[in-house]
Amino acid sequence: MNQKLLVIFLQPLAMLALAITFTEQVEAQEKLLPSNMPIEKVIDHYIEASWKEKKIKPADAATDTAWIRRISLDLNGRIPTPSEAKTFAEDKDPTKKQKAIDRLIASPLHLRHQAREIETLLMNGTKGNLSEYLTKALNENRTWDRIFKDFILADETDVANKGSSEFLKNRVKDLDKLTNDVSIAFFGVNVSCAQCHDHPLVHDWKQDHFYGMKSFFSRTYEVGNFLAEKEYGVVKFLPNKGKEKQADYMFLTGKTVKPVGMTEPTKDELKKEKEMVEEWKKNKTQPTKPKTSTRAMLVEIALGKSERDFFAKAFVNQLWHRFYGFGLVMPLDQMHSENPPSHPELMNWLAQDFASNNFNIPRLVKGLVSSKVYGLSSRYEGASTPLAKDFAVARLKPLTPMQMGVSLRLAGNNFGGGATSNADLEKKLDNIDNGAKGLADQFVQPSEDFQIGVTEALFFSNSTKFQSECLPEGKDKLVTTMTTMETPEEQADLAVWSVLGRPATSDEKAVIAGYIKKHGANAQDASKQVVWSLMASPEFRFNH
Amino acid sequence: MNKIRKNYCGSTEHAVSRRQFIGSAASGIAGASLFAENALSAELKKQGKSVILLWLAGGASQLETFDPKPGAITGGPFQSIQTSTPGVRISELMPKMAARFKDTCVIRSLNTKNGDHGSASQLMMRGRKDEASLKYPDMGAVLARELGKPESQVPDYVSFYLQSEGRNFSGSGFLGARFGPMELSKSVMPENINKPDHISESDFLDRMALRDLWSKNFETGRSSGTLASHQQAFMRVHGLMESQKLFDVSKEPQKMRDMYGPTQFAEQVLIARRLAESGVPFVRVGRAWWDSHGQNFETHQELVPELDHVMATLLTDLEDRGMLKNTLVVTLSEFGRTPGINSSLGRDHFASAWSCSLSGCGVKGGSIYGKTDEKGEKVIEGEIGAARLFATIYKALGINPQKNYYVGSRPVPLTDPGTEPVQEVLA
Repeated sequence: MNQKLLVIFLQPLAMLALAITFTEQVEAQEKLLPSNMPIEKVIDHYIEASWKEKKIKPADAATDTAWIRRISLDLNGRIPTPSEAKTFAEDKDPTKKQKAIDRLIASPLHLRHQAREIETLLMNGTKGNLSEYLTKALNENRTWDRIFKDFILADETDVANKGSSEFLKNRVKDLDKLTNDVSIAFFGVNVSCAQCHDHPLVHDWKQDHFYGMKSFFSRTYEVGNFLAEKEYGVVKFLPNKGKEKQADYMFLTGKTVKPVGMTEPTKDELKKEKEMVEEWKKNKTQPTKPKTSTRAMLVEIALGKSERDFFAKAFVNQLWHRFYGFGLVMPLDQMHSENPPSHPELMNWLAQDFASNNFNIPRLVKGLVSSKVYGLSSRYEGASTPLAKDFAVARLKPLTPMQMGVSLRLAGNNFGGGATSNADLEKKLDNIDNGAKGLADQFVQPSEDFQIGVTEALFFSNSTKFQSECLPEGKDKLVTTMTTMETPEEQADLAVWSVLGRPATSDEKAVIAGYIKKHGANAQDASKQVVWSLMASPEFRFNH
Repeated sequence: MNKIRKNYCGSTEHAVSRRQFIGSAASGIAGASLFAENALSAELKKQGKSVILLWLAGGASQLETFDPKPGAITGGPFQSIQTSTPGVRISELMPKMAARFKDTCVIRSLNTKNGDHGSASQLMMRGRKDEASLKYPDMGAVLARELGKPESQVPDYVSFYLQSEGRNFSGSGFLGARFGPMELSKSVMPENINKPDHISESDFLDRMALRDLWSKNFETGRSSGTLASHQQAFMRVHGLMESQKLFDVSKEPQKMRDMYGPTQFAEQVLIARRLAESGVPFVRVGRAWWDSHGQNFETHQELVPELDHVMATLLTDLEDRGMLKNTLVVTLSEFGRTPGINSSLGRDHFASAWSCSLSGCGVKGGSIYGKTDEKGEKVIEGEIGAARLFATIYKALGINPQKNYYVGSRPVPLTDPGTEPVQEVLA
């Protein structure tokens, strides 16, 4: 092979591929499992088959307390209360996991957590607040394709979609960024490289795709606080070879459409438009919608039966990554043919299942967390630890800032004493969640290969805010309740249940009891130090 | 028409093979190499090199500092003076630097094409513009990564920024929080660095030991880079708290404090020297209020002599301590100021022909690089942008400017592909 072809030039790694190659891939594969099989069974089937093939011995199943902590963090963004954890561990019902999943999904905290996670996925550092829209949309159980449509159409004249224009508004000043962000968030492909040159690996993947995607947004602009869309407009670009070129309206798969308004408007039309914009500005009114919205055309193409593979796979991969700590395709924005999934059949099955069930989010969530694979321990006793992409041992997932804030507050407020009704518990949890933002702001949103900085450790060690919010004193607070217990061993047990959601081992009890005895001059201070050490431990810092 | 962004397209020099790319993308060890060390980098870390960046926020005027044009219509009221290098003249507002010019190289030919405070600050702190989906680390984060020791008991990136103007443009980008700045924006003492009164020293250590025990238990049968960073962060706490004395300027002899002078800027620069001396690889001292759209000459008459005195004192102090060969002092803004004088007797934002200076480590002292025309309106010799300036700075410190980090499977060099350092500036 020509040496030049073997060499790629640095940038273009985060790149794209063609749906054509995806389709070929599907056809070439053996038949997928039946579509009526439960999601979790399909996951276990494909993953277990790959272990067998690679002769991998998976980790043991996680303990009940580890599992209930994991699922509470994943579905409600918080650790379990000690009584939740205890009740679950003692429950002999063989369907208890399914019941716990149903209970947690039904909780209002699930909606909030889900809204936050999707906001992080879509905004990823870009300013803007999607919570108003997302809370409403998820509460009504809107499907993922509907949510996508709402964000791209950004039509707030319908009150049901209030807040949906935040996604576009905060990006419309930079159409390159908007194009790229939409491609990453909804389709799992990073097109930024095709902005300046064609893909060096996949010959069909060209600058045309980047500018093709950009075209759909090129008619969108801001008028005052509103978004407007022109009736005309094309994108021109300078290819790295040849003369300036007009971009087609082209989706990532190469499919093109021809909207009206591909020619420049006349002077008269321009004048008329200018007057209208002035009028809208002056009256602060919502601009009139165009007869043809090219953004609506994008939505239509992307969700079309033959093109929706990108859309379905990207979300499946992102959700999989959230629960399993590692994507079926990594990195998440490089879903292309040069970078196939670790489990192609599983990916195809899940994407088809998601699409054919109308992109129902809770259904997919429930399926993903119900598998045996999800329930594996994060500790691996064997000699050589399997790779992340084998999913044979649970990944450590650093908590998000809100998970940290809520969980720290939850641990410091003793929920261990006395059973509470479900409604009462929800109310208390709601209060905890509401007040957690300030604490959450002290932490950094984890990214791939996340490195925890010393600022966080200093905050734990020396901040008065940590002291007052995470180790509060008073009736019903953890550190004070500990001092009312009869033996240091009981104190140890309460502390470990409250912070780590599991019983203390006998060794831990002995160590903590020894610590409390040594530092017993001020019982409450000793309790605080013990609780602090547990909160600052990695067992608390990670969802494991 | 769309502009073609040339800034992140490939160079053959740093190509990776297709096999390598696919191998690393598929193996699922994305980013692992971000923190891998090779022998060369380990050796560099041992040399204890540091950078002190004097960041003149708002944009200092090159005409009133390093590139005066007395007599020209754009020149303003100040004269130039002879430096210790024959034939080289700088503004008369900088007599002390003129007298000890021997360690400094002035670059007069920056054309950075961005006159907006925010994005220009980002550009001049990173050496390039962020991509839509990739946030680059700034100079401090890169140097923390390249020069900091993993087990270091001192911070590796400190940023003094007590004034509000031009704050918040730094950041560790894709390198993450581990290499982020210790920001001093409220006082010269870092936040949460002092032990709170409610716990005794021995209890503090005891509870830390208890935490350490839980950590070790948890690590059995588990490993990840993030887990390791968590442990490392707590292991560094005590050392960092010990380093709080470095931030305490009262620990310096009064004679030394008098030498630097009584201003806040001077005090911070003195602390920066204390930090560098103790192995902190990067310290930025932000000095704001250079944005002189009105009364440019009064502003510079006030600010430049302070800069002149503090900078010259710092260089002499570093030299006296034998630190200058390992410490690079950089004075930089986000841009310069217009040669044209506006009706408020001010100078506006100007990025097409401006100056900065490098002194000490790895730099050819007593020299000038680049040249602007008679009125200072454009560069006529040695034009460089942010990328080459950064490549030159990295090279001066012994760091390969084309060294790659890996973001996922994508190699990202320290400076844009193909960027060459300016050899004439280097010793």
